[in-house]
Amino acid sequence: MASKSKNPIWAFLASVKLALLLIALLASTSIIGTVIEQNQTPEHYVQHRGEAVASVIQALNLGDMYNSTWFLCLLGAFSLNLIVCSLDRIPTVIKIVRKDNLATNPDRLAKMKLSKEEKIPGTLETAKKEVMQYLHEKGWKTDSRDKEYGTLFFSQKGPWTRYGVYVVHLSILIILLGAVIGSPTVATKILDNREFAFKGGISLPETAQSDFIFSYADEKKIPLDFTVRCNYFDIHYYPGTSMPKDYLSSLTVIEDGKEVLTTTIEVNKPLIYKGITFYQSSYNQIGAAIIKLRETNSGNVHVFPVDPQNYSVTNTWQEGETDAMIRIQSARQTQMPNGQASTEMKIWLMDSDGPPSMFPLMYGSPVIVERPNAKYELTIGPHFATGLQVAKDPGVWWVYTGCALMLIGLYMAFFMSHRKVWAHVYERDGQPMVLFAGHANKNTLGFSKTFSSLTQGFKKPQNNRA
Amino acid sequence: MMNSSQLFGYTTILYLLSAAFYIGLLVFRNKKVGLVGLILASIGVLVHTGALGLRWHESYQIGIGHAPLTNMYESLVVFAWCITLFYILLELKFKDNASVLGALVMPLAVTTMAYASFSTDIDRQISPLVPALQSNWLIAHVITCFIGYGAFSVAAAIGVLYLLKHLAIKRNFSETNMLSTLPELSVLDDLTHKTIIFGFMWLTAGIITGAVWANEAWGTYWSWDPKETWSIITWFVYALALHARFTRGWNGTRIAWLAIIGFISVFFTYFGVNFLLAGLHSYGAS
Repeated sequence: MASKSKNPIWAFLASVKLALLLIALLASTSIIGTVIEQNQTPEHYVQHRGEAVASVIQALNLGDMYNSTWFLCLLGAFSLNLIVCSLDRIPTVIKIVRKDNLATNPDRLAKMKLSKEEKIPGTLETAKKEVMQYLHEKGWKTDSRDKEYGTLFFSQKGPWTRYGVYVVHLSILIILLGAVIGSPTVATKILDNREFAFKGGISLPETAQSDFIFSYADEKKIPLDFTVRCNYFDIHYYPGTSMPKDYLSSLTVIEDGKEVLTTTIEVNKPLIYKGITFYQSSYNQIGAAIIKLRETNSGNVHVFPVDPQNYSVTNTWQEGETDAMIRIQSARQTQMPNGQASTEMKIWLMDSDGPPSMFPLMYGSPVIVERPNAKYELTIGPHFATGLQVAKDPGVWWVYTGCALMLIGLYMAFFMSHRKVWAHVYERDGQPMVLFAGHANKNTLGFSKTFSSLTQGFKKPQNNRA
Repeated sequence: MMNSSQLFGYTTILYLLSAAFYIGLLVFRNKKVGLVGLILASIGVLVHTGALGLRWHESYQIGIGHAPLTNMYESLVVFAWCITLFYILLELKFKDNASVLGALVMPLAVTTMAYASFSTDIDRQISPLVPALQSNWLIAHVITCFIGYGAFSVAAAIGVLYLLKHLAIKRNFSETNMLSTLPELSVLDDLTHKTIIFGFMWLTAGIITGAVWANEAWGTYWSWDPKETWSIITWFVYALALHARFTRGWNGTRIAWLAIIGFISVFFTYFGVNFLLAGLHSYGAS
């Protein structure tokens, strides 16, 4: 280590000055990207910022600054500094943690900030036993070694907390590593395997399916090794308002022609399948109408797109053991009481359990249809496509692990300390004595209270005996 | 029947009185005056807690139940709650060494409450929650961030007092100057440092809960949106302060200034981003 510290490059990379400089640079340059709108077209910058500024933005890639080479280099330098500075200091910390505290010269104990000397009645041997037992009772497990005039006892708590700051440093590196592992750019350009990590999306019309998605980065297709189908899309509103309460899509995963799983995703409730996550991200209307039937007991939903040019088609489905079918008999334009144009349809619905049901249905307003063995909630509404964001991020667990380590490390570094207690039991002029000494690397005020209650607690029972 | 806005009103009045007594402590140096300030602040926090609970309850009564943490008004009110609660705990822990700080912290709480209650830019209605905010992470994320913000505000307040006292000593102000009521410089310095450490822990937790939530809702734990970026800038500023202290022995005026710079960054993360920049966190703006 001594030779390393002489190497000027190593010393520079390990220096705190460099760390402070890099942190300050990261903090100050990060501001730029919050002031300049990110990921806009070159024309946008010319239009909003003028030619001169736009050329600077272009040259320094400030339009995508957090992915720019110079910013990534800054992060790289920061990581290198973290690694070198930790490697440089950890050997010293290991030495402190492994230090043989029983080698301490008893004379030095008396000079420590926290020390206290007491007489002990009895013989030296009983005094040793008494001190050891007392420390043990108080939760300080001791080691001991014989010294010139007696025995030195030593106990410590939390020497490992000295590693706290390095746990934090390591956690940052793990988070950055996770970011690299999960980066679509790294997957595409370095691993040459776009399916390893990607971010993309797909717009799936209700009843449609897909076995690929489009990458956000270059809009190229990324194949999935399964198929995903959107059964239906739905918007829930807060009662009596037009404020959306939730967007949801019913998705089915199909593998080798078999339906493997069906689930409903919502905002904040994605589907994760084979490491690929499907998020509800948007929606749009792609067709005039779609029939949705929900059987209220089973919760099964059956969906049939309607072609306005040729609406009178019979659609069939199975509900439990029952075969059922539905047809739009006729449709005509009407006006709603509020003046809005709408469509009124005559519906024919029948199943093997009884005579057909015939009833009118307005576009957008649900009706309930009771059958002998089923009860349907039926609507005809716009035909939507659900917008799914699809991501595969194999680095995310690294990032989460790093985050957890960071909190643990910060707690160790800030709220825990390395505490040491010595007790030298010896004889002075035939009188057994004990000299307590203590040291903590942090929260010295708190530890001095612990220390004084420890030493006073030892004195009290003695006084009672005396 | 009492409603939550009335309770928030009483809270503001209690904080105002508390601030007055703390300023009284600074001027008259009578410990009893400070004690009254502490008692008023404590009653205020209790009423405040009740008001937050009531607003939560009211949101369920109108059928859109959610924790009161979802718009600028609610966040300001929670911010004031955090700084006051944090300050009270600080004073209980550090006793007289911290009590004068109330003269700066309580007016901050009052200002926040008053701004939330009277500003015309701020919508005080309980409004339905957009789907993106309907998550169990909402409470964890907002609370961790705001405890951090609260601690950093107090740290900056102590930093200001440190600088004032430092100036007074340098200029040889008389013993009777009211800044002499303040604790020793070394005590203020230590308090600033400890408060920053506490805030740093919570800010870290706040950023992490936010990242986990973002990943759950949008599929990206980090997207460099302005709020995220400013939170990491803030994190860097305090990381800088902690390293400068631990490894280069910075203390005194330098740490006081860093506490103030850090707070400016917090302030920008909290307000500046909402009002000046657009981004994913834009729902916090109204």
